[in-house]
Amino acid sequence: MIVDLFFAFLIAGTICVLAQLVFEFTTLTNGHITSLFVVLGAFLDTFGLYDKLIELSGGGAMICITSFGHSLIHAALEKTKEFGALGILTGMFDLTTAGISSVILFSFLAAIIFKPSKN
Amino acid sequence: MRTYKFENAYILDAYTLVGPLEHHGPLGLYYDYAIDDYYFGCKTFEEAEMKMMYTSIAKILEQNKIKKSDIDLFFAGDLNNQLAISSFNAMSFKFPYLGIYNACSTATEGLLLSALLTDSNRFEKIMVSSTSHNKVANKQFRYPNEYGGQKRLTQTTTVTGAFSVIVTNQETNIKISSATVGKVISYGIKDVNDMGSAMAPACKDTLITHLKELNLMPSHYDMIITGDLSAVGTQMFEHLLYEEEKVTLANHVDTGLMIFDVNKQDVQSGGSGPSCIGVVSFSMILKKLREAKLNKVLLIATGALFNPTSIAQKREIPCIAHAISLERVL
Amino acid sequence: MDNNQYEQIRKKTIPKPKYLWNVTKAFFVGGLMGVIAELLIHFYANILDISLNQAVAPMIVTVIAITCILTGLGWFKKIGEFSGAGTLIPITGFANSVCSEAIEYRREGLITGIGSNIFKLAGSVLTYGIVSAAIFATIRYYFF
Repeated sequence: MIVDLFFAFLIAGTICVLAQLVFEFTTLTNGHITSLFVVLGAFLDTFGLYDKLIELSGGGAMICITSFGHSLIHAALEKTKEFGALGILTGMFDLTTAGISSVILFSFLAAIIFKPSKN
Repeated sequence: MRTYKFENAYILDAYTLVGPLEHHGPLGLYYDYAIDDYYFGCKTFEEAEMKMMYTSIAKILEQNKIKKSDIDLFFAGDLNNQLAISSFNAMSFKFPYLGIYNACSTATEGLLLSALLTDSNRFEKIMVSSTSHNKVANKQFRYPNEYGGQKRLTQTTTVTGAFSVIVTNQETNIKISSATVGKVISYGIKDVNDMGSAMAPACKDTLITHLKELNLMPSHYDMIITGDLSAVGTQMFEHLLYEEEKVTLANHVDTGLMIFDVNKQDVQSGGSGPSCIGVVSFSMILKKLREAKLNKVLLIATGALFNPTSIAQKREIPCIAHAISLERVL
Repeated sequence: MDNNQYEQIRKKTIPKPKYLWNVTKAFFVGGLMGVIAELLIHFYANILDISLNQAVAPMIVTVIAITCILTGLGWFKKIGEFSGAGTLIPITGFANSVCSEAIEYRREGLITGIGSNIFKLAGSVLTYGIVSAAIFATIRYYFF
């Protein structure tokens, strides 16, 4: 368990450090950086490399936005086993439904309950 | 020739309001009013900004026992899309209205237009107002207010403030003695997070033009007060003056660095916004002029004339600076 | 002075960020996010009696819900300013970008406010995630 937590800390921390270095040494905005990392996550899972990272660090690799890109391509490729090329489009959101549905729902609820802080 | 001297342009009075961060800044005690929080009792930040400008106008009329109908013309501008804040206030007060926009140079643009008009004696009292609100500007130009992103060190913090000034052709002890109209200048800066560097060339151009056309040395003025250059812009301004004109100023201050304590407050490079130079000049500087601690000052407000589309389309940031001089007359 | 010379002077004038401090903060906060995620995954796997893989979804929902609450309370922006990429890269950054837009635009109506602006910042993440996943998946499917 401790080893799991150690690798979770290390991998998540490392990915964040890479992003912070991009922020410090370029004029890219947060939007650019997060988009870059999503694409990176999708790229790394083209040949299953990101899966190896998940095996090693579990939550560490899953919490980062890179896992979003990974989930999109992973589900797309899974569905191709059943439906062929069309599976890329029909399966893409299979693993990311939880993330997208909850972000919209909770953001909407937060907007109803809260307003921007006065300070 | 774009510098004008005036005989009949005087400051009748001014009223300044600021937000909580400015109230806790170095000049906190000089402003006429400070709001406790960014809502100012309203439902939205936009309404709060409207109320700030409204309050500055209402108070200045009240304190000087002037009727709304006595105001011949109202120049106002702000950062909101299509000058919404100014227009709604013009509607509230029913002044004859000319909305103006030059980003953070709106204050001096309004003052120089007023001076040009009162000087002809065709206008007796002209009201100039401007305002900016940190939360409204963030929403329009940057990120939502609850967004948790890191800021760049070259960024400036939009000042939450409002000021109103009445310019008159009747003599008072503070005269608008001259003004220089700026030209739009750019040295190719495209980084919207470093407006100070983008605006410095326009500021230098206006200052040098003003001094040359009036045949003055910089030391003629007790203070040369720039608006919104802040930490990075001030350094670039001084570099430009030295490299291009062999001029070093001994009497230069910048309101973006006066309104906040850059070391203690979380404001990165300093303050900016249409109200920045206005609230500082018409509180602390005006007080010192009235008390004869200062006699002649030059105000140069700088504005960055971009919009989010021009930035997204990778264009440079064109900037402008207008200058007016205030003089104590006995 | 031409534009290039001005840019050279500007590069030398602008203040240097505290690189090491910023990177260290990102590492520790990001790492902490990883640990919290791993703990949540194990927690859900135990109490819901599901596999670790299946427990990822409830972990993500939990993290998003907490981020939205922190954003609404006005605490997240201070945390984000401190940790930079440490909260930007984990799913907290995505949730905060959507939530902060929704909260900001509520006053402009449900459709023209919240509905039209909710994905202003996060839209590029979704767009390029999908576009890149489609391209890479196609390449993988047809050539390998």
